[in-house]
Amino acid sequence: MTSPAVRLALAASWRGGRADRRRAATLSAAVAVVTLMGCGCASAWALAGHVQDRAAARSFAPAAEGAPAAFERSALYDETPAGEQIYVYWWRQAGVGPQVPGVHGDPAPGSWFVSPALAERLAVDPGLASRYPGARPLADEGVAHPGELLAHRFVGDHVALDERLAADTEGWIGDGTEALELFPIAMAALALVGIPGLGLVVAASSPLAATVERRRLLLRALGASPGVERRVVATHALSCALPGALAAAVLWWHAAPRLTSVPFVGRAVFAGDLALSGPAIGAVAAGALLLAIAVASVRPGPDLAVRPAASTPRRASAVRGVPLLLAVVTMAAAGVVGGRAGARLFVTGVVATAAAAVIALPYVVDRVGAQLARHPGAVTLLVGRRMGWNAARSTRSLLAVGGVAALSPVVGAWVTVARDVDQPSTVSAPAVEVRGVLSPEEVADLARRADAVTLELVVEPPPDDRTPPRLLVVGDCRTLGSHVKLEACAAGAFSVPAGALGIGPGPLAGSATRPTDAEPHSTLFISDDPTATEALLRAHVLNADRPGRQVAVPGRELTHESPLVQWILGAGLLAGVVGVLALALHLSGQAADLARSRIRLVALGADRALVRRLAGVEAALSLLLVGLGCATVGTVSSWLFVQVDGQASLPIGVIALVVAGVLAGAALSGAAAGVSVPTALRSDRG
Amino acid sequence: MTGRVRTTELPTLRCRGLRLRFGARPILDGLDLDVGRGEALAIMGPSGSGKTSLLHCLAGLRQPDAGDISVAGAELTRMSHRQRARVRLNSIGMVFQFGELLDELTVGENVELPLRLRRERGTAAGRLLGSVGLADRGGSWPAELSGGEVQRVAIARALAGRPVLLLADEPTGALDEGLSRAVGELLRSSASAVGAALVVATHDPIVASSMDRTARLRHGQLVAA
Repeated sequence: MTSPAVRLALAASWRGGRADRRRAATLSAAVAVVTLMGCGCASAWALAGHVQDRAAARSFAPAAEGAPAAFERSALYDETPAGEQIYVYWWRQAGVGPQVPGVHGDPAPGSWFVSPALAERLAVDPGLASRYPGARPLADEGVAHPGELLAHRFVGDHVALDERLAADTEGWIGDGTEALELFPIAMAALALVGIPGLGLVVAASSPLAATVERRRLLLRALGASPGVERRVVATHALSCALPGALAAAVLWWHAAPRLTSVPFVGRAVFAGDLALSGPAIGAVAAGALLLAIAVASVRPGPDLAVRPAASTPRRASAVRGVPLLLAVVTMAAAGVVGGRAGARLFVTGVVATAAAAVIALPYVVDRVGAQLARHPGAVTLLVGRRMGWNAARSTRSLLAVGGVAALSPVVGAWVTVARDVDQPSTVSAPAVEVRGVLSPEEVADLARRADAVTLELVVEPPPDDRTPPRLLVVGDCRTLGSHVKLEACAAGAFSVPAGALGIGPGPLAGSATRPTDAEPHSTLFISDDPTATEALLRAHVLNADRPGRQVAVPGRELTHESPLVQWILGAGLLAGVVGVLALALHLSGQAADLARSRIRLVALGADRALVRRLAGVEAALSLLLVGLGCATVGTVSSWLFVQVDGQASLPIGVIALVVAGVLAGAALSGAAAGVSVPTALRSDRG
Repeated sequence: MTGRVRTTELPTLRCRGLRLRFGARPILDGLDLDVGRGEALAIMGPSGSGKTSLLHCLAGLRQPDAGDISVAGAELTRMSHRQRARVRLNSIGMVFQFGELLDELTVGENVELPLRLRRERGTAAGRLLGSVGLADRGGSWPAELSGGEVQRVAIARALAGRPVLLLADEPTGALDEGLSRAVGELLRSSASAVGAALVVATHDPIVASSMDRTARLRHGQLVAA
């Protein structure tokens, strides 16, 4: 029984009618997309390993006390006019040992080496280039990835440097950069790639469901066992999906080693960094095939398109809301737990909420459908009854859309945190700290240069003989007043003597500029004018070869944007594209579902306009309910995120964008469904 | 073309010179037909003889290659798709072999659907279902009915719009002999009750015997049986 049945399944998938082949091709294409998404995730993980290895290669361990150092180093900071941060390291080789990775030869004091990405910017920006005179390119092994902005400067003996480093490397963490954490990355991949990918396969399988169900019924009538039924369904799904999985695997095998940027993310990579081994690609393709088989094996319940298998409606129960409730409670509990465990709990809750929202929505759709059916109009009756017939089935192919709508607000809230640390909201210009004792001549020199860029300059007299003078440079006196929280400004001029301002650790506001940890001899520059700050940086720090003058930024690692932002946004874009694909498949399936009812309606006297209206309202309303329902869940999730993380803010813009997207999508879906639904009978030539 | 078609002195259904081909094969070949108000006609013929195609033409679901069809004075063959849909909605009732109820609607909603399509607020479902002996099944789903009950609901639905022409395509094709007789008689009596012309395409002599006259479709033309 099995072999003929399986042969039947194989034959029916690609050798059936045109509609069967179209359905098989749709599933095949969806599995191809999912395979590529899975390969992309695996390649991203491999890329992270390569980047980590290269960064670790230049992360030298501190030299033990009293032991000879291989290097002395200071970690500094610079940025491009566009605000991109540049790692600047000043080095001095203190003994015989390894060279800084990517630096070839014996670098002379005063020489610069810059990464390829920074070299590209220097080539088009003379102002930036003047800060790195005579810069030579670093070899590829010296940069973590092609987009990294990195500069090494080798200095002579007269420059004091901060760190003494041994010859051995200590890995990624030792460089001050956080190690890659598997958990949040895995959850992000699950949410932004897994859920939309699953949604796409579900949407692509839906048109196949009626065929599969008819085959089940036929096999059952012929006396096949449930096991045979399952094998036939699995074989059918496998035969449909296999070409897509194979094509995607072959495509990635050939393309990945040649890619020099990550698709959708846009991040530059070295050729080969995204390459995967054959077994790895095979494992991903096998996973995609298993997913297709699993989805096809799930019986979605009564199907209006299946005849003869008429049955009664399958009502969605309120129990469907329980997982959503649990997921929200999980997120709320994360605030109580706090710390790293709380963060993990929250991320888990977010992903669970997105999935649970899709599980809960059929109940909402069912209830709305029941309300609509009470309306006397024919269209509302039909739409309401069709929506409530099997709401779980009719919404499952909107899983990807719902997932994207539910996740976007939370991702938006997270990005506000990641962006805010890079762009302090209270201070518009970077604060820099110039270390070292300032001599009266140097103060005069600074004052002269500051005058040249029309900055106000205040010199605080030293409180005692041992403390050097302090210098404050601001864009104008009003800015100074805002920072020291004093009414320092009157008619555009300082009304308070500099000495009375009490400039020091206490009065300065703004976490990024508060020099609470500043050494007693520190001098603080603040400017609201980026150009002026830029000029000061260039004039006094980077180009002036003054011993002991180095630029540092308080809490530098905090100002560096999370490297995950680029990936998350890229994955979000991919999720959006997959969501649109899944929506298109959903609409196509819905139009096919309507076909049988359409023939009966036309026979009853319904005209084309009514059938189109029915198709349009049903498509638009389904998307509205799922999209807005999931967006509401996402908004609640993002609100909880804001409560848990005080620095995050509710992403009103993202929420508005999601709502606008859902509304526009519903309008377009309604119009598309109205146009695409076949209204003429095959026999109608009139 | 607006609103309900008024009956005139002309036959309710009048066809002249109907021609229809499937490729090179002629299905209807100059067919003429008149059916008066309250008259019941059975059209018999073997499978593939063109009975269903003829009924589709009479309902305005298909346009013939040539000829004229008039339903209570409305010239179907000269109308647009929308106008034919309006005539179908207001003046024609159809019964199909398997009932073709909408599974997503209850029995009562199925019966009321033609009225809702006409934007009429009606409570006729109970009365119509009562007239076919299913007064207590209005809240049931089609899947919960037997084949005979489905056909009776389909007849009630076809009558809901108070048609002047009732078309039935193999209405007893899926029923046993006893039910066939009952459904045939129900069709006949229901059509008479509303004064509608009735055309039944069937290969069932039991059903045909319930009608006023019987014609055979042969070589694309109707001949008296």
